[in-house]
Amino acid sequence: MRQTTKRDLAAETTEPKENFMMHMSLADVLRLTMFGTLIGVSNFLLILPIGIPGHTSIYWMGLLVLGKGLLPKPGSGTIMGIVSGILAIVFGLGKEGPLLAFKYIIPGILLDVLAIMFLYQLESVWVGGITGALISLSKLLVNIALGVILQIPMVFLTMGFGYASLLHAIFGAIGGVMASVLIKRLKPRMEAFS
Amino acid sequence: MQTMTLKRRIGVGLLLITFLVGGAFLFEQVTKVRGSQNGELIPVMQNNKIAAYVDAGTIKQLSMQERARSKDKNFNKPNEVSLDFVLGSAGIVDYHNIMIYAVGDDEGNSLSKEGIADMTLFPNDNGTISLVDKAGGNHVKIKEVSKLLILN
Repeated sequence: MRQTTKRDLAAETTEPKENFMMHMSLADVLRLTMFGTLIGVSNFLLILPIGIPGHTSIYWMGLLVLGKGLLPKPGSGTIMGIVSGILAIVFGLGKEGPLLAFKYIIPGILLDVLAIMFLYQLESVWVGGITGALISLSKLLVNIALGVILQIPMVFLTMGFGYASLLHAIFGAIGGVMASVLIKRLKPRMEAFS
Repeated sequence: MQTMTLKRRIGVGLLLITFLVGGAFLFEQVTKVRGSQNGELIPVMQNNKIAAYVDAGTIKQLSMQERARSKDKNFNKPNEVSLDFVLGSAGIVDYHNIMIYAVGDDEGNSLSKEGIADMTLFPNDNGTISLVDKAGGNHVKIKEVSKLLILN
């Protein structure tokens, strides 16, 4: 009786629970939560007062692409976006209140779509760079949409919307390229580990 | 059905980024031209160059900053900001005369540095900005400001 219980327990701990959420195991969801937390915390701690729009995209989009590349499951970008969005509200980042979550969730959803479009080849520097730039631009667009809805003064327009979008694309691409290099190096190790 | 190769998808992605960034520059230009024409976006010009753009949102934000700096809570009405503070925020401090144009007016009103001390900018409901003379009993001097030109 005792042996059976042990065997059951061993099976319980070694076999991952498949389809815990959105066809992902509990372990994968926890890993994605970790990435989402990293995004939220980095946005809270690493904002530099340099006045360059979009510089946060380097680590924000970098971490999103890295998470998606290491855990290439449908919906993984959305989970990271939801977790980081909730954390951003808790930390009180931005002036948008609860709607701030959209700024984090939309790039995550778009990343899921782009990963399918680019055949999950996020370890390619081209794909990483393009994906990073596009999700960074989506963040800017959500920012503007929220600014219009909530009538928040938009500094982009006075600074130059075109300039802001160009910088968002560049910083997002840098983050994406860095992530793709890391994916290339980490993925074989992850596969060997699992 | 023939699927697209990765190279072609990368090409599509690059095109998409180019369109988005190009579209942003185009949108900015169109907004600036339209905004300047109907008074919703006021260019502040110095030495024939645009030093800054001011809109109703910027005025509201600057008003909050000015009220926060001032000890007197009744310093200004909500959303109202002194013209001097707006120019200072745009980095313009060394000037003697300023020309203020109204929408549809090419001649403009010239004011000295002393003359603008009591002038405030106030956002209208339609997104335009009016110039109010506080010394003259809150008299609206210009209903819709279109341009601020720093003369010297």
